[in-house]
Parts: sequence; structure tokens; C-alpha cells
Amino acid sequence: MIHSAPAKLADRFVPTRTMSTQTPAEHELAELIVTSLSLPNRKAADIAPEAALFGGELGLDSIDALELSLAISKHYGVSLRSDEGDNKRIFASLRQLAAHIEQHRVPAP
Amino acid sequence: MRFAAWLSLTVLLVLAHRYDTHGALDALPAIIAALIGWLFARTLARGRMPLIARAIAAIDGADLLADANIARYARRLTLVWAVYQFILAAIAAALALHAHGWLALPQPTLPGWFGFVWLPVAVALMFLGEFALRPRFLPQAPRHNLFNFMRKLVRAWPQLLLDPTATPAHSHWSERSEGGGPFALWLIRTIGLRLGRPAARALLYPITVYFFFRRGAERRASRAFLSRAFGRPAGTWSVLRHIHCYAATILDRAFLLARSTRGFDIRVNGLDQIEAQIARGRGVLVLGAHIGSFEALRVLAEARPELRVRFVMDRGQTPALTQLLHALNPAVAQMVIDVRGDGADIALAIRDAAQAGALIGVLGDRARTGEATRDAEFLGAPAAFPVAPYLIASALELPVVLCFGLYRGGNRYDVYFETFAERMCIPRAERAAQLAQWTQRYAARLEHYTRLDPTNWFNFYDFWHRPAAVEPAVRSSVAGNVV
Repeated sequence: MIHSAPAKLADRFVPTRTMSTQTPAEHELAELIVTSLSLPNRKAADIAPEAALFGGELGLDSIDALELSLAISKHYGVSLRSDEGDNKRIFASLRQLAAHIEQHRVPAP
Repeated sequence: MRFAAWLSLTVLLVLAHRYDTHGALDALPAIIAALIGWLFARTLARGRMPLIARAIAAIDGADLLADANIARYARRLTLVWAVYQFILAAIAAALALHAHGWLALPQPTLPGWFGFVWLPVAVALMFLGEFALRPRFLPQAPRHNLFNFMRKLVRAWPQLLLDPTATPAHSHWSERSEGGGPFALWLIRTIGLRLGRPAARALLYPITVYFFFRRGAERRASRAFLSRAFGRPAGTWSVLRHIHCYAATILDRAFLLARSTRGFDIRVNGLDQIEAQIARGRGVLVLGAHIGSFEALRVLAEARPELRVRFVMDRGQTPALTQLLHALNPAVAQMVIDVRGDGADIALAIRDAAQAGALIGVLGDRARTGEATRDAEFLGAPAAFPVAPYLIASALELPVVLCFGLYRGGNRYDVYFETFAERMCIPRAERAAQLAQWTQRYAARLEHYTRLDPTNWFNFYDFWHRPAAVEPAVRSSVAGNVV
């Protein structure tokens, strides 16, 4: 399976592996996504960091966003807010979501 | 339009001091005559086609109007009819005022006698008189025999009320604008809340008739639905009762929001069932439908003021109505989670409400375009039901309670609560099978309550219609469309 669903047309001609690889934090989050949403036939390593989480090849919907938000708050203690209005940006890609969590995460004791 | 409205308002204003249903009945002929006068008068506005000209175009063809004399005659006759109706309305109003001791007339008749006998006779005489004298005033007009002329007129008249420039009907309910527009809602608010429910309810009759003639798509949908529910062809009377029931509950929404349940006879069934779920303190998904009045859920909020309630609804569908309801009770605006927002935001707002232990009201019958649905048997045929409520309840592990509030005429509402799921739990692996089960269970309960009184069904579109390409997958391809 091809694992990129680039937002921009120009990206389509760039091989995913050379474009970017997952950082350790992103890989951890990708694992959480795959397990909490029990995505069929998908490995955490396959989620391209900059590919669209919603609507793209991964095709998550708003119910998935809800379940993911519950899993994230359980795992990281980071609560995604409903009233900030920038969930579209936060959920845009694995990279964006990981960055948001890193920013709001309570440092581990 | 303004004149008719102010006339009705003045009549009702004075009668309402007496404040009985008899007063409203006496006022009815005046209101109807004024409305008919208004139907004529409004077509005289600049850029519009006079009503009589529309009749000529419908019966004899629009070519006749090229004759300047005929066009002028049509315009003048429209004016005469408008003035005549307003005069009759004024007489009816004066008699009604006299009957209630607000005006002294030298030789009055009973308002009912005038309104329901003399007034129609006066209209008939005017019609026949004009028909008889027309060849004199307008020698070039085509001759008709009276019977044929009336037959053609009756056949054409609903179209006469439509503006020739009106936009065609849309197929999907969410693309239809709300009926009556801001004016009717303003009328409900002004007359209803200032003068009281009996006065406002008298206005529902002309509003029902207006809606019946102006909203062809809804009228046909109503007839088709009632025929299906009754198991036999539904007549015009049933359709009128259906529209009247709808108008009555919308009016009552204004009262429920502005003045709470005071003056209503609301009978609650199964209160213990929802109380038990509320007591668990984890939030409750309250699943309703577009039948009767979901506002009746407010009886709960009143009994327990500390209870938090959120409604997941589409603010954009009926903007004027929503605006009105918000104006009546600003707290309502805070309670709404608008489905036109971003999908993730909606889901997270529901999560927040659940975590605060709130009741979350969702209507589970209508699917928006592109929304993930499952087919379930409903009143004898498969219809598409949205699956999002069950998935959300499952993700948040919420109990689900059904809530249907049926309008039973007069000031009575019957509210039913029924535990649907103690704790919704749909494992991903069993999604397809479980969703099929839950939607079918919901459809069966909805059918049960709909059958109690089919005129409470307020989905005025072909509920069983499916768009050409339906995505069967639960996982919607476009984020945000599931909720």
C-alpha cells in the first residue's frame, strides 16, 4: 500500500521516505492512533508524518477524532479543547498533532 | 402586508382584553378578509403582476395582457377587490368589537352572523356582479359561461398566489427555506407573547391555509406520509390537520422558551427511567426525533434547575426560527452545539458536555447530506438513519434514553422517556452488525410513537428517498460529516 496522501499536488511526485520520517514522539503517537482506533491492516510506521489524518488515505472521521482525543488525554494527559476552533489545524497531520501534544504535555515526574 | 398585519393585530389587541376563545372566533372573519385583501393588495406593489392579471394569464393566456385596456382593467379590479376585502374586514372587526362591548353600533348584527353568512354572500355578489358587468366595461374581453369560468379559476387559483418569478422547489429538505419567513415568526412572537396563546392560536388557521397553498412540496410530502401511516389515502383535511399540528407546536416552542411550562398540561411518562440515568452522573445522551416537541424536554430542566442540557442541532436550517427562539431565551443559545461546525469540534463539545454530566439532546431521525447512515425498516419500507449518535454514545460510554414529546391538542403534551441503552458499547469489530441493530431498534420505537399520532411527524420531505449514490461505509470519506 502506498502510504502518502499529500495535501499538495506537487508533493505527489516526492517519495514519502525521503520527504520525512517519523520522530520518536511521532512514532509513539502513531502507535496510539493505530491501537486506539484499531485501524485494520495498518502499521504505525506507515503513517506519513505530514499526510492528512482526516479525509485523506487514512480517512479518519469525527468519531475517530473523538476516540483519539479520549486516548490522548488518557495517555498524555493532554485535553484537546472543543472551543478553540483550531482543531482542524491540530488534527491536520501526525506531525501537527504530535507537536500540539508536546507543547501542552505536563512534564513527566 | 403591513396593513393586514396591523389590522389583525388591532382587532386581536382589543379582543384579547376580554381574553376568551369566543373573542378569537369572532375575530376570525375579520382576519381572513384582511388576509385575502392583503393577497390582492400585495400584488399591486411595483414590479409585481396584479392578482387579476395573473388570473387572466392563467385562464385566457398572457397575450391578452398586451392590450393596455385589459392590463389597466386587471390592475384596477385587483385594487377594487383589495379595498372591498379590507372594508368587509373592517365591518367584521367593528361587529366583533361591538359584541364585546368595545364599540357602540346603532344597528349591529351578531359578528358570527355577519362573518360566516353576510361576508361570504357579499364576496359572491361582488364576484357575480363583476362577471355580469365585464362585457360592458371591457367589450374586448373573451366571454365565458359562468360555470366554466369558475371551474378554470378554481383550478388555477393556487398558482395565482405564487409569484411568477418564484424559485422552483428543491429536492432535499435542508435546501428548503423555512416557511412563512421571518414575518410569520414575528407575528407569532408579537401577537403570541403580548396577547396570549388563545389569540395567537386563532391565527394558526389562516397560517395553516397559507402554508398549505404556498408549500407544494411539503403538502405532497405530508399527504404521502399520512397515507403510509394510515394505510389508506390521506385526504386534504388530514393534511391541513398535519400542518396545523406543526404550526401549533412551533408556536408553543415560543411559549415554552419564553414562559416555561406555565399554562401547559404536560404529562410525563417514564420519568424514573431518565432520573436513574441522570443519577449516575456521567452524562446522558437523550435521543429524540423531529416529531412533536422536543422542547418538552424542558419539563426536566425545570424540575431540576441544576441540570445541564445541551442540544446538538442545525442552527442554519431555520435561521429565522432559531434567531427568534434565541431572542426569547438567550440561555438557549448557550445550550446549542451547532452541527454546521467542524466535525471534531462538535464531537469534542459533546465529550465536554458528557464529562460535565449534562443531558445531550440529539435528534436521530434526519440524516444530513453525506452523513453516514444505515437502512432500517420504518413504517413498512427501509429508510436511512444516521449512525453518529450511537457511535458517539459508544465512544463516551454513555447511557442512551429516548425522549419523544407528542402534542395532543389544546395545551396538552405527552412526554415519553424510555431507556434505550444502559451503556452504549459498540466494539469496532462488531460495528456493522451492532449499528444495524441499534438503528433498527430506534426505527421501531420511532414507528411506535409516530403511530400514536402521525400528525406529530414533522419531516416534511420524502423520508424514504435515497440519493442516487449512497456511501454504505460507516467510515465517511469526508471528515466532519459523520456528526
